[in-house]
Amino acid sequence: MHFWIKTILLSSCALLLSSCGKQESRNSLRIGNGAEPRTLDPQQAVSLAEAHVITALFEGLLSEPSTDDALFEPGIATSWEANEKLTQYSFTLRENARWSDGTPINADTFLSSFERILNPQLSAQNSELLFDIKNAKAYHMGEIKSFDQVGLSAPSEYTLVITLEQPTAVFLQKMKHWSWFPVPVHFIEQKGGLYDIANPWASSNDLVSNGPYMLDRWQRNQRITIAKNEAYWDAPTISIERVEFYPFENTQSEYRAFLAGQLDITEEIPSELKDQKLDGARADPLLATSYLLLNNEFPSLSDPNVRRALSAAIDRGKLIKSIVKTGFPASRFTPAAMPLYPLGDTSPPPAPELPRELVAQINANGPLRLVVSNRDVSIAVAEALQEMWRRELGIEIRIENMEFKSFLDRLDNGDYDISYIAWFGDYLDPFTFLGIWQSESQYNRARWENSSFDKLLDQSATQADPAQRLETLHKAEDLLTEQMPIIPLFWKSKDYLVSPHVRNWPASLTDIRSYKHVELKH
Amino acid sequence: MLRFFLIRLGQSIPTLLAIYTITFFMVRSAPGGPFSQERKVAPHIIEAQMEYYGFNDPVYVQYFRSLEQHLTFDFPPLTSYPGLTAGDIIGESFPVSLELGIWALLVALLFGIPTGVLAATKQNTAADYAPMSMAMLGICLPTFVIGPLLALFFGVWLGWFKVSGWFDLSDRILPALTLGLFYAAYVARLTRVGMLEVLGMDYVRTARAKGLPERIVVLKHALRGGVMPVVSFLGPALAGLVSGSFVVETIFQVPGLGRHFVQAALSRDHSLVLSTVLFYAALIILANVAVDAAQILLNPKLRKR
Repeated sequence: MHFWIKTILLSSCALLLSSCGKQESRNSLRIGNGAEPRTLDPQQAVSLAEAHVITALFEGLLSEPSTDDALFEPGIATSWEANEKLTQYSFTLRENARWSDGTPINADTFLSSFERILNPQLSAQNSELLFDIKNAKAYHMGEIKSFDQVGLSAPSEYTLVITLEQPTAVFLQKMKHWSWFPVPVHFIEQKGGLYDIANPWASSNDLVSNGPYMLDRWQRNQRITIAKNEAYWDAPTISIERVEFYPFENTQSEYRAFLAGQLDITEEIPSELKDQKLDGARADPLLATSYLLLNNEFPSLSDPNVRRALSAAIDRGKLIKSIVKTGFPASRFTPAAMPLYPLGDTSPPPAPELPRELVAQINANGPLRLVVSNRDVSIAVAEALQEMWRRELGIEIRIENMEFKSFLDRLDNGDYDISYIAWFGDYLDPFTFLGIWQSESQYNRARWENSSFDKLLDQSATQADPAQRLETLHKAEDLLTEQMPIIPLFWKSKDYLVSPHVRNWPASLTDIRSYKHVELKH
Repeated sequence: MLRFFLIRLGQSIPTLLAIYTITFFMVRSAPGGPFSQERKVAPHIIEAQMEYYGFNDPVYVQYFRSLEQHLTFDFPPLTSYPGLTAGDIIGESFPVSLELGIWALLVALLFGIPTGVLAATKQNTAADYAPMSMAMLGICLPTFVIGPLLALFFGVWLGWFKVSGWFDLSDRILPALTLGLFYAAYVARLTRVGMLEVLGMDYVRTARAKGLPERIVVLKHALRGGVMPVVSFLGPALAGLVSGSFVVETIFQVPGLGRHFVQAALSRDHSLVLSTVLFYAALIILANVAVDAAQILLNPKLRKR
């Protein structure tokens, strides 16, 4: 007994002492990164947490800008030009680009990478983002068997020519997305099947990449450490040796880690602290809109007047002030932060008075079901809406809240009347917001179809003149605001903490940024 | 003794099979699938993924295939971590939970047993009431209150420990305390009850009558019988401790099995749910067998049966 007590006491002392020799992390940037990434394969990743790591590990033809006002800067491509009709883009690649294992990168690398993401066997969710390429969709859907018919070619070793389905003015914007990044085909094949969904290449510690950083170690549910890639063509400009990504599911834990000096940048601010003036707090506007998804097939909601009245009865300012504590009241679906897309006159059309009989009829159909997930403040928002609609319109709502996957199941099956959800834009163009409400869009969960809206968007896609195109998109936006198949609530912002040691941390509308020019000053 | 183990292990087979069957059908009846996302996924992509993971096969085929996989330890790729299997996940996260559990157990016993013994020997005095009130408080305060408080106090204000992570030895202290103090409270109460019962027994009186010092009477004679309730409590407690605590692991960023256990269910990763549930079940069975064995060793009366 005594022996054991001594042993235990001694080992506890040893434990206490070992804590004194804390290591200071030098020249490594420690970032809180929300959820644990599922994969680091750029072609299979869908979440922002994954993209935050992937954009440091990989580089596409174009890269994220280092300054806030530029839209992109050269990546693997040094120069590019489009034909006059904007249907063909030709890229000249740099000759000194290499994978981290030394394998050179040329136009063929991109051809085989694009072939992989479009291949039906891989069934990549984001393959849809490459459908601007001629015949890409047909190849992905299995209508074309030969990849040669897809609008991609490599006339010389360092020239890549991309032919599009139709003129696309914002093509360069769109292809900045991580789904367009090259992948190390030679390495993937070494680890398993090229199109195998469960190929372990992207979770192995020897992962080969081509960006400013390479994977050092992935300790699941702890941290992902990436280290400067010396084989990167622009390695000398990178000042931070290592970046560490910490997954934090709990924002309070993340906040404590920041307070204790264990993190330089957080992913979020706990929602109850969002309206406090914390040291190092930043609120960067995002291209993201929280909105109410309406089931337009539900009889009570198929009348635009009802939808407009529901929208007009919402006091967005009050919701922001007392519940969500972040963001801006949304007067249309596309956020005001969208560059080169002036807000114009967005005062919503005057709210119609709903006749009493109509309200009675809506309530007679049973209370409208407001389906929300049990995440963050959704339930509080739902309760506030219930109160506002009851008071302003006399319309009764029943709130149904559930766990997230069950919630998604209800949405996908159309088993809801109203729902509260958000949309994050993929690129800096209004089309990423408006396009999802086209009848044919896979993302259109509102079950709303409007042929004039579809026509306007189709027309905008082929307009090569930017001014004309924006005018068309504005018309579509106005139509969306007038018909209100969905009710925009807030334009989101990213609220997070940045330590004063971090310099040149760029704001980003898509929450995707280059870490190339970030510096640490101790 | 050997016969006892064989019988107990034989009994566990139908138990595990029943658990497997119930879990298999429960995860499949939960609404929502592994591939749905906030951003709607195209139906043909979901279809292709379902096909790849074999979810389109008839249910009985899936049932027996998955059973075979668990019997042969040949696990399929996971939907929530492509490229990894349940074996990989349990293999990397269980040792962490086990380590945390052992530290927490040490905390529980180191704090619990002496407190209980002290309270029992000084029954109905301040030395009894004070620690027992603390123990009551310990039971009532959930880990999600104690954990953040400890992190805030020792991590943020005093700066003695890191508030999260599982890298250095010192990172073990706060999570082990958080998890252990809760069990320590139980252990203290159980020890006190057990000791009070034993201290009134004849053999203790005999020991005292022999003129043995009180210290020997309490620690050598009474304690052995007095900790019996603690030992039977430790079985399930041990399984609970080593299989990981979702709350403590989330608060302190501990990469243990508890987080996977919860996340697997939330992300509808059928294979990971099944494997972690079976693993947990096997652990509980093993822990209970171990406790029965320990009780036989501690209590000669049981040996004769």
